[in-house]
Amino acid sequence: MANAVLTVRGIVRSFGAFRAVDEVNLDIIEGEIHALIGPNGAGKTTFFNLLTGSLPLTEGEIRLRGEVISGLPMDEIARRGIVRSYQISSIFPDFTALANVRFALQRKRGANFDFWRSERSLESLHGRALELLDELGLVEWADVRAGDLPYGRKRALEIATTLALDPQILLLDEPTSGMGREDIGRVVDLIRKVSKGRTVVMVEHNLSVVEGLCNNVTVLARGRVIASGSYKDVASNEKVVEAYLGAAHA
Amino acid sequence: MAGTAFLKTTRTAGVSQSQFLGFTKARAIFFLLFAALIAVGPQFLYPIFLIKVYCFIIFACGYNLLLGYTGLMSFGHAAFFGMGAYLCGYAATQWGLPFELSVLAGTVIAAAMGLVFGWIAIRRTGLYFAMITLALAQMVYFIAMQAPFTGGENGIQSIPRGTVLGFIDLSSNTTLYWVISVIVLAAVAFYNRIIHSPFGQVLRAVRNNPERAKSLGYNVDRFKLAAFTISAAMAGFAASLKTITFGIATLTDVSYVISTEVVLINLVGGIGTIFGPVVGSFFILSLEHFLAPYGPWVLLIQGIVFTVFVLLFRQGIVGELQKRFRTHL
Repeated sequence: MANAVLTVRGIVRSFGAFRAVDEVNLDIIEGEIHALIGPNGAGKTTFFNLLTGSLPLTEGEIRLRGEVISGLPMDEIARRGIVRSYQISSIFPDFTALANVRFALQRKRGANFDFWRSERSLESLHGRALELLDELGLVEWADVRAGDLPYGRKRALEIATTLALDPQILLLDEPTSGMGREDIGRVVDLIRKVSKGRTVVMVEHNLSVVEGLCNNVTVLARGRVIASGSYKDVASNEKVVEAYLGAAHA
Repeated sequence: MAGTAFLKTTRTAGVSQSQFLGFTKARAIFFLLFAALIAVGPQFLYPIFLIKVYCFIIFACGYNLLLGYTGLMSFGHAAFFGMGAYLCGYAATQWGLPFELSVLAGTVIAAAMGLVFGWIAIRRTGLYFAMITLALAQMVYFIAMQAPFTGGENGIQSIPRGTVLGFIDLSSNTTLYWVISVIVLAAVAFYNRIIHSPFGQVLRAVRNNPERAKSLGYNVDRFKLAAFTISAAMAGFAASLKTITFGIATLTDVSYVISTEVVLINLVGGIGTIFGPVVGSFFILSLEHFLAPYGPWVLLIQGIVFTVFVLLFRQGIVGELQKRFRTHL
């Protein structure tokens, strides 16, 4: 497909006889916000793990701007511009919130093997780190140990850390999960803001978030794509209704 | 952006504003206290015993870099310590190298072995990592027993102390004491710098959440390997100094007892603290030294100490002090 930044062809991930992701084909268009939805156990997070190299593929191929990235290690895929957030907040609990974001910025800066240099050389990153924390409403929490932050703040911190890398493709695994209404509004605004000039793929259960935010929606059920298109199209799709509510409602 | 300007001037991600020789205030006080102890030490204790403690401090600092700051537990550090000792001794006796080059030889061989062992072992984590390092170290022990250059059961003996820079004669215990004292202070400052460097920051992140570090684009295995190699080099360096001091390198240096001793030192001193290795080395080596007349009872007492610390003071002596004084040492 034209303008496809990420191309997924026939990917399969098996765990023994169980196929968690089964022959999935998908094109992610440059600059879009693409939602992956589906009932629990549909294979959405496994699909994310395959995209980021966290899990190896059983079959199939993934290309980023035409280059094969399937088989590359996770850190190499991240350096090529695909960075994710996790369903369960993945932060550095012993670091302060500021140090979490600074750590992501540090990777981009390079010179990470400099064991002779003082940690103070990283202070030049504080300005940008504080800006990112401010965008996520976390600036007051900058000096708080990340492990002591409330749940919603941890999720926000994880997004700030992910954004610090300025990724080409941002993968967000349930970014609003566990957040209150006010925080959800803030995160939705932020995703809209950061999606400018960037491609976003998100797994999301909150369908009103998906409806308001996403250009395209792909629905997974039992590891397979059962529908794809605009939110309006997939919402009226019988297979989707059946997958969510059971055959009696279809 | 409210508050950002204010924060820029006051918030430093946990890095204290006031530093001395790269140490934060509390650590600088502890460091000066340590320097003072070194200065008065020979007035009260046998200098050669103190030198042994200082060598183990360097060894334990390197080990703590791995266990406390990278989260990797090795049971094979005796291989680096022992081979460092052997090569230093061999270089000084057979090749006639001076003090500096003999110590360098011991350090380089340990670093090279660390690179190879680390490359093999970092493919696994946790207990499997520890078991691989133990297995490799046992192989080295076997080689040390069989190879002619180690001198087998006799070891390498009559290793000359030589001179530093060609004019500081180390044959006097007092001169040797002050030379090693300067080296150990520099080594602790160097260890503190590694921990509080951009590299140290990555190691701490790897220990905290390796999966997240990978997902942010860090090649975690490379950082683990670098930490393992530095740690091995410090073991070889410490062993070389000890070999020069005692004039002998033996099978004891390469035996598993050395590997367990360095774990015990860090456990008692405080894993993941700057001064844990210092306090732990003084504590454990003093136990061995002063209880030596009681023979095998030392092992029993060491066992009791190990059990007490694991059950009651898991953060070690320095860790407990940190908790009490709410500071980082």
